[in-house]
Amino acid sequence: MTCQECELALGLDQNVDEHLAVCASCRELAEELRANAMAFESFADDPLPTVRYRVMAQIRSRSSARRVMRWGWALAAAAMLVVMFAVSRGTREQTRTPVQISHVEVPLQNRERKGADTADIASKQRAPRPKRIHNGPTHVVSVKMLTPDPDVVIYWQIESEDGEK
Amino acid sequence: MVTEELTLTILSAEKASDAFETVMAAHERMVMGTAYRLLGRMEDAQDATQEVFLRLFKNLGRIDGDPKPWLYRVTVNVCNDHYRRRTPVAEPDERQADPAPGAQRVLEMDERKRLLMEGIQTLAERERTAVVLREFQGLSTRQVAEILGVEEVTVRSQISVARVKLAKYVRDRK
Repeated sequence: MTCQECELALGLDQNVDEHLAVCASCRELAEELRANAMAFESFADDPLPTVRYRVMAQIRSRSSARRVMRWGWALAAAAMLVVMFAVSRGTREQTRTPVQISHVEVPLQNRERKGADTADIASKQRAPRPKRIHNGPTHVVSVKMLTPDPDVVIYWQIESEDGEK
Repeated sequence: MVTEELTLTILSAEKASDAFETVMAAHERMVMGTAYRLLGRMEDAQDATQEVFLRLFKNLGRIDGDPKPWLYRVTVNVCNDHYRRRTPVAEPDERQADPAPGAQRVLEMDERKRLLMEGIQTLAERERTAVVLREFQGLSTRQVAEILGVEEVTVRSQISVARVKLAKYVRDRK
């Protein structure tokens, strides 16, 4: 320990009290330290203002803005599910009944027949497909969305055939 | 028919803010007290406290268990940022608790507290932070070291230097 006022280095075996008895400057400083320690404790009782209402008002206004956004996301998610389902169904049907398109090379001299050939192909494409009969199980996915409002629950029921989702 | 139910839960914003208000009520005094001692001005302390709690609200999901150490760390960082940004002349508040009439001891104590608040603003950033957490907030040397991310021995040395500087500051102005 070093006495900062009189620059006296104290050894570990030296008694601080002995030094304080002879060094007025250090004694005074020790008194200040003791009084300060008491003052530090008394700070704990000081009244402090609150900012809780300020913070909560800010949080609530942000939350309501976010709620609007969240509803938007929920609706977007629902739309996405419906689109995904529709796309997967459409793809499946396309895979099962592929449309055969044959290319017909028309010789130059028979150019007047070209229009008739194209019309034949088009009429074949437009022919009604036979209705499919499904014997497999029907898979129903029920999507339930809980909202911040306990009275409002959104349900979607998405039905798919052959166990495909 | 195979039926499957998926439930998507949107957390109720109302419930989240109510829970947060409870957390804030429990820790506001601690944060405000620390900010006020570190900054020496009530307006700055209020701004800092507001910033700390808004950060807490944002990070609530990432804090496990007691939020106190996190709050202390963020309060110290926010206050140090405020301190560096603000105008160089820092006039601490001269607000005093109303003393009992004729109570000389109370007056002396109030004067000492005012001088201590002034003196703290003259300390180096690390010393100021260490002494505020140790002396005003009553944290242990180990807790202060953890919050500041330094060794305990460093904190002890900073507090010791700060105490002597404060004692001299008060003595020279009495």
